[in-house]
Amino acid sequence: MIAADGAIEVFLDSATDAERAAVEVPGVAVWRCGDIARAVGARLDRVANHRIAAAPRQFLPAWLAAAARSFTIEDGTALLDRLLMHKLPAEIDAIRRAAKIADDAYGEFIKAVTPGRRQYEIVADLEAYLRRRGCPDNFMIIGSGGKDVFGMTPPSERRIAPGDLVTTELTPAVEGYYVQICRTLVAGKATAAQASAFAIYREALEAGVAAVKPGATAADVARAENDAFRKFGLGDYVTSKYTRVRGHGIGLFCDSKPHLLEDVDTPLEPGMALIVHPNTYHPEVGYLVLGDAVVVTETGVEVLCGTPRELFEVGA
Amino acid sequence: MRRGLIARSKTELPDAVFDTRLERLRAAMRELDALVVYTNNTRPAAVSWLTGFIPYWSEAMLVVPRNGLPVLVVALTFRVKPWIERTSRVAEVIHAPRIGIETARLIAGRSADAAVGVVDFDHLPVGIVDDLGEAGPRLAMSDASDLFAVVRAPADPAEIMLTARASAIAATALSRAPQRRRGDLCRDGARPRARPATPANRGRARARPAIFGARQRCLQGELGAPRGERRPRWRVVRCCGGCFRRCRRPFTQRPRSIAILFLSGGGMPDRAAARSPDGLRRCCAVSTGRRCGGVGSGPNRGRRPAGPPRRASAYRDVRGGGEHFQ
Repeated sequence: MIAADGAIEVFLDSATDAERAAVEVPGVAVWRCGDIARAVGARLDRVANHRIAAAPRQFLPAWLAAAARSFTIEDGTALLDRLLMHKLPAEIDAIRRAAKIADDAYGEFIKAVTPGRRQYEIVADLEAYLRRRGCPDNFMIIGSGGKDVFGMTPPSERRIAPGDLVTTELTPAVEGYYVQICRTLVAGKATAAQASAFAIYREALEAGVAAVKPGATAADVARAENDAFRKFGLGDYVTSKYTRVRGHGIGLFCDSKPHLLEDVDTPLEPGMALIVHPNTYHPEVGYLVLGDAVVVTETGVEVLCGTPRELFEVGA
Repeated sequence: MRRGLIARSKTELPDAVFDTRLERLRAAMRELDALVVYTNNTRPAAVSWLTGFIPYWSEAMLVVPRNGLPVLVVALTFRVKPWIERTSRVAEVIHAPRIGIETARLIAGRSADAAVGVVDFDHLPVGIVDDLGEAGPRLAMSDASDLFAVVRAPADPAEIMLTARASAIAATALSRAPQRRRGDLCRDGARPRARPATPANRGRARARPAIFGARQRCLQGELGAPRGERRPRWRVVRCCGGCFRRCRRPFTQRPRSIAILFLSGGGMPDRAAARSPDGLRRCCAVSTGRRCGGVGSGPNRGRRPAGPPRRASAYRDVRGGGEHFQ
């Protein structure tokens, strides 16, 4: 709960989280309660004559939104979305540092991938590396195989096989701010088909990044990426059947607004942090990913990821 | 939030285990035509117990009909359907961006007036409740938390076995952890004091206040709150000597809810008493869990005012059980 004068209260139903919150966010009142909805409701009863909004309102516990309450909660989602999308300089700085760690972590990923290793062993190496680097959290999914793979998932017991395309999204957090990098490598020497397919993804990413500037919209960026695929007759593979979004916002959550889709008209403004990733299925080789985190600047775009946009080869 | 390997071993959790759990649930459903259980990546336990499904991302609803196999309605992309089927015991997976709508359609398709039990109804996201009502306006929905709690309570042999294995892994991991200093442990030796002990936490503790302060100013601007008001950071109240002697460390708290400042090391408490703005006054009994004679003067002297649950203190010793915050 955030009052208009800036006072903040956090209600938690976990004693562990309550203790952690009390340490990590000094100056914020931390309440530990068995039933969060009723505890917050009792608190709101005391300010029922105030104007109250929730964000995102759709995730409010149903009890709080019931008509029988003494208070009414409006929808403050748009307000919070606006604040979350526009990063302060200190936040951009945290994201930059996270991007440097993401680059380093991908270097470790390349070392960790060898034929015969299980996916979860590779991810475990990365988790250990990132913890040693001081990253308390990392959202990471992985895919390995050929034309049978349509996307990435949490790691499984599947072993890396020679010739596999190994895809990953690394999303480490620094000071709570997530950044993302998406790359593909081949366990062995890339075939001509794999190299040719990857070139399209590189062109799509470059087009998408070039479209990022103040005044452009999320739709412009998505369209620039998708047009690169359409140019090669792969228009079907930029639809929702094969891909979710062409990128998204990054920050305090690993996937936030704006979503880069051709029907999202959110204007891009300086201070926004995004991941541009034309990840999708290619009918000849399977699922490929390539993505860089960027920041919208006053004059254009700053690319945060330094890892080369290559189809890496491991053990070739 | 669950990360990393999410797999299901049919040796550890054979299909029969989930089937038995579902049968126990059905036996308890009585007058209900269907039971609905919500899951997301922060609240996976109930659906995980019934199906093994753990959402590493997004959200889902499990629909358990009185007859027939349960259906999982997920907001995840259908491209992960093979993964879901590989790691979970589910009969059918339906992919839908609005899981409430699809869930209601599924149930209302069999019976428009179905009696539907919803586990933890009060905490179901209101957006989903609205969608359930939109697609199933005649569904009679009720809270089924107590029903589920009774079914869920006893652990079956598979669960006990897995818990024992997890415990053994944890013991091995702890045995390999660096030895802690004695002063870092609380009295029961079980949990460390809450302090920023890692570089990550220290950095976070330093950086976040600055970022949060800037964020709060942005939010105040959005809300139209007056800016530039000087709000005192700390308030000092007098505390009775008896309680003060039991206090171990100084701690400070925001004046709005609780306003107490102590001196450490045997010094006398500051006698410049002040009340918190909303009239709530508490003494150091908040931290020690024991009442004192009261603070200052006023209508709440010597009585614990009604209000929100107790708040946690960063400097409070951790006691066993974890209930000391209340």
